[in-house]
Amino acid sequence: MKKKLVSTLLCVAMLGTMIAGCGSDGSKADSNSSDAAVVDESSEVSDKLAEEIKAQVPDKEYSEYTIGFCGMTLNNEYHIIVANSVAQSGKALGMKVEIQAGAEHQSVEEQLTIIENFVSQGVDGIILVPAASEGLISALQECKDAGIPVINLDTKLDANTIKTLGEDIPFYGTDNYVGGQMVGEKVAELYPDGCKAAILRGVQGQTNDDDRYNGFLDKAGDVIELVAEQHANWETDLGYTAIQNIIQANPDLQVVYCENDLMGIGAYQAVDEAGLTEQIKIFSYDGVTEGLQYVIDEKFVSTCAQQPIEMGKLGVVNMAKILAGEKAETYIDTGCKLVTIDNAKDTLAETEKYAEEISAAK
Amino acid sequence: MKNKYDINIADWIIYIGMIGIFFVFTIICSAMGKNFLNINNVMNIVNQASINAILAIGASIVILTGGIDLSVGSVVGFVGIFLAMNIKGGMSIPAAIILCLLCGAVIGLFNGVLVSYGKVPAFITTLGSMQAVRGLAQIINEGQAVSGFPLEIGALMKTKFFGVVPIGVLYVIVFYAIMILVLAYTKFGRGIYALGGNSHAARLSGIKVKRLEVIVYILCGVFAAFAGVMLLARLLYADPSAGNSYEMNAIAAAVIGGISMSGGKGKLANTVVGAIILATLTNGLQIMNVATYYQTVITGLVVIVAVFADKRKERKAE
Amino acid sequence: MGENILEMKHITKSFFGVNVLKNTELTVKKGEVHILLGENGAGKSTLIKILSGAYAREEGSIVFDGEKLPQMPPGDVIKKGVSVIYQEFNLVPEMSIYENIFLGKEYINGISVDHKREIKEAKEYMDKIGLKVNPKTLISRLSVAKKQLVEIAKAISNDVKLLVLDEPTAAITDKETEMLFGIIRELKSQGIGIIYISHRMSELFEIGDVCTVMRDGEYVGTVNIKDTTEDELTEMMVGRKVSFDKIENKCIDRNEVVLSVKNLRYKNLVKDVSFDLHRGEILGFAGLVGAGRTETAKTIIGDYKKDKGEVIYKGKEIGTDLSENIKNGIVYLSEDRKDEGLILMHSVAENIALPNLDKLCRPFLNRRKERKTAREYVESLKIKTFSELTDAKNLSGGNQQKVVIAKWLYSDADIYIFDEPTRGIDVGARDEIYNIMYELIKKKASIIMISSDLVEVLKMSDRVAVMGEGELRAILDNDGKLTQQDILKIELAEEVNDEK
Repeated sequence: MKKKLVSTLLCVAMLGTMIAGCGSDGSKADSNSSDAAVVDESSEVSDKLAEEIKAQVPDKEYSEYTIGFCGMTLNNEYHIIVANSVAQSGKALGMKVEIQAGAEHQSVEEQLTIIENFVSQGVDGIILVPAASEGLISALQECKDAGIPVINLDTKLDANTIKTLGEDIPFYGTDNYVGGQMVGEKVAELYPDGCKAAILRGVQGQTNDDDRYNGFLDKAGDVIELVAEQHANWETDLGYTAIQNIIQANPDLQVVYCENDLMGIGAYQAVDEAGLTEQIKIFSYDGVTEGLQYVIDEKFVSTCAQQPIEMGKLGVVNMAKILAGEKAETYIDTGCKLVTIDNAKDTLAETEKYAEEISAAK
Repeated sequence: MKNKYDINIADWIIYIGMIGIFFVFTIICSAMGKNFLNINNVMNIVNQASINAILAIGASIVILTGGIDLSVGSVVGFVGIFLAMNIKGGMSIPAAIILCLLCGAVIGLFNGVLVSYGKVPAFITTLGSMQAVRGLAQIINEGQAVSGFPLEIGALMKTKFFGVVPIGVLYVIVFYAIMILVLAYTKFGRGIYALGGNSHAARLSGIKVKRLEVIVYILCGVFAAFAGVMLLARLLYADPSAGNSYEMNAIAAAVIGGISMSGGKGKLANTVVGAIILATLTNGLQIMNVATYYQTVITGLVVIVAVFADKRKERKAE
Repeated sequence: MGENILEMKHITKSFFGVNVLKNTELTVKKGEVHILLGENGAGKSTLIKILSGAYAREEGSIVFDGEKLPQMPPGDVIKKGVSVIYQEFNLVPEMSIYENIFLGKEYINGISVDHKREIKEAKEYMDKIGLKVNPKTLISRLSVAKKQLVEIAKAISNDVKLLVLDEPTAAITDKETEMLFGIIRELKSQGIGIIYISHRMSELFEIGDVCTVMRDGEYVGTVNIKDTTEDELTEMMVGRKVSFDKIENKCIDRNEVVLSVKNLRYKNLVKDVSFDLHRGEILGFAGLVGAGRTETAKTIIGDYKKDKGEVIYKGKEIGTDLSENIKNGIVYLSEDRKDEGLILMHSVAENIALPNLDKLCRPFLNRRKERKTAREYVESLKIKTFSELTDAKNLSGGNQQKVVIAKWLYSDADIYIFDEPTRGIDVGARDEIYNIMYELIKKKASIIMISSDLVEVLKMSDRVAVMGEGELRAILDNDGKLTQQDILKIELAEEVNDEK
């Protein structure tokens, strides 16, 4: 009876994948990985990518190295792209790459466990996208003690953490503060006479939440009247509800700044339902494909695109340098650009191209 | 022996609580110059409560049998992705929805059989399926969100009657009306209460308790699947992490509504009030622009106060 | 034999308005094995629980070792030197023997427990009673007999002056019994008083010095074992001949067998039970607690899945589908009203409706009819309740029992299995329940009545089935000449072909 049930359930799941026509060949990751299933490790690396990566690293045989990638989460596109980029770039050098991530945006404890496991497995290097800027100190200490190099991507570790650790950890990512400033400038440019604005923020306590917020206010703070701000934890449904309620409180709202595209999507649905798409304009952040599409459809005024693929590549290239005994770059700003209707199509095409290249063999 | 007058007041406590919260919010909001109490916002609240209210039907009936279902949030996430993929792949919307409801039923069947025939504690079973189903939600589209599907599905949540009444309100009214009648006026409904009240006595009274328990979990799964359809229709964006921790909100609504966690006692009609109270808290506090973390604290306290009031009522009755 | 170690006088106790102990007394001397004898429900356990402090007495005095004991918690009573060994042992299974012996009185060496000293002393106590096991062995690894010895060792470690043994031989082999008796004699020689509760007549004569008999919560008398006989004790237990007004059953049709049970077996609890039940008959089931009567009933209705045998109802074999059997009209009224009979948190009306929902739902539940029916039963059975909407938990035991009966009266069943229908019910309400049974057989229903109250069995039954240790030992015709002694003798008989 039970067996029958399990197989029925599996059939239903498989049926789903077939109907949608994207038959994934499933995960080969081991069972204790929380989300590793989504990264397809079996695929081949495109020659172009392999060439590009190899050109940047010292000439050496890398196939005996294993590096661990500890992502923030693997349940949104942005983070999946980072993970894929690391996996494919690593593969281009013949390295083994272990991909792990927390279940949610805030899963610091899970990341602690993941890093501890990496250390005990004896990986040669760890690439980390921290779930919170603080709180990973003990795991990083273990890495330091074990002599395992760590590279930090995307979300910068908190300055205090680095200080406590007494060791500089290379960071390659966007300066979210600068990105926030870009959005702020855009708003100030479009509303020189001021406007009523609301901000949807991410998870409280993360540096990129603070940076995106402060950068925005740095440029737009004098212009806008900030009528509401809510933490919607980067999630679509929470963004939707929050904006509905904020509109109720402030029917004359003009601008919504969302610190990521997922919340932006929820915000747009709420604005659309209220019939206020003419009055309320949404400025988003992240530049995932859906976000770019929203800009093209003029649902967002702009989004701020980051370079997740670039980050992944840089992480692997510099890890290779460390492993080859060279020095890694301590800081690289991968840069970000404001995407508006003018450049949205190009950016989307570019992202898709990159994405294709990363998962070339799929 | 309890006196009748007493019981009545206790039964109305939840409504008094809801009105109290509305009253407090209205006063504070108007002092702040914000508009809280108007037809638009009331509809807004019910609409925001609707998904949780539908999930809370399932939570309530499962809790009434003395069980619990933690998997509903994951079912919401799974159904969202599954439905989006199917209609993107060209399946007709009604067929895709029916398929999703079937998925919900299968997951419920799985839970129910393990709990009743397998005698695995409900908490463990559904904790397991919560994670398994969440995993499935991520596997079927490799963890990616789904968009670019036909947007007609949005009509399921975005339609408004007479320009004010959102369709979500209609779902709540229809499903609650049906389930309240089922619970109060059918053998099945009485069986649910009897099972939660004393499963031995129910069995020795000729109630087929195992079959009944399985059906209850199936229903819970179907309601969760429907909530998943509603969420997709509302956001027009399917994210595999959607519906995260929704099970807790649904259980909270049931508990605020006075459904006894040990089973056998409680009114489904009060569960919807519980869901509305939860939505009202978020709505009112966000209108007041209270910082998010305080909202969490206040919501938590309300759950505790509600359970405390309920326990007092029980103690008084004894 | 020396002075009195224990004097309990004028002990009175009631539960829910039912008197379970009435002015009872018990006097035990030092170095004496004192047998406490009585039928099920005679009040022996209640008396012991009052002694141990588990229950508070309403009236009466306890003098122990020359000192008047006020009401005190069980822990303090143990410290005074009274140890009670119940049938369900009071040991922590996942702890070792010595840890159990010193539980709550550990030797502390600085900050940690002084294990060495505990093990050494535990070994001494164990040697005294000939328990040759490593003191570090876990309790869960021990046999029942050994666990019992650990309990005794624990009692000795508490400096016991009065040891109470509640049916100590119920679950151990003959050889183990012999050993136990040796230990009892040894303790006795040390001047320890012993209260020994047992049903087994042969044992009493072997080990006992004095015997106190109780009946219906009352003190009957105390006799020296060597001056008495088995018959005399039985008569004391049962009391003087009660005048049974056994009403002649005119409804019985001995030609029609409605239920025929053949070689029914369920685990080790029901062993090849066979009997016939006639139309309009009341078949009494007598036996001690644990004789397998309830289990037989539950196996018949399908609550327990039978291992073997068949149940034939109106010529057709019935299966083990409980709800199907109930639908066919075979119903079981549990002895355990609170756990199996009623849903206490639901109203009287809802409880009465529960087995009858098919009648009330067409297809929707007719709540008005539900209430009306409930009200009718409340009136006709004289159920004392505020209203039919009152929760069952607020009713007294007797009234709860009437609600259980109402459930099944309404269901219009064919065969009623009453399990201890009058347990915990006061005398007035008993007669009402008897009358209901008569009404049922007048309507051509048949009844199986499981009861430990022999007066009741003789008053109601047309025939009496006597069970012991899972077996149906005899079916006796209640022809007016049958006496309680006759039944009791069979009940108490040692197993003839002991399988041990």
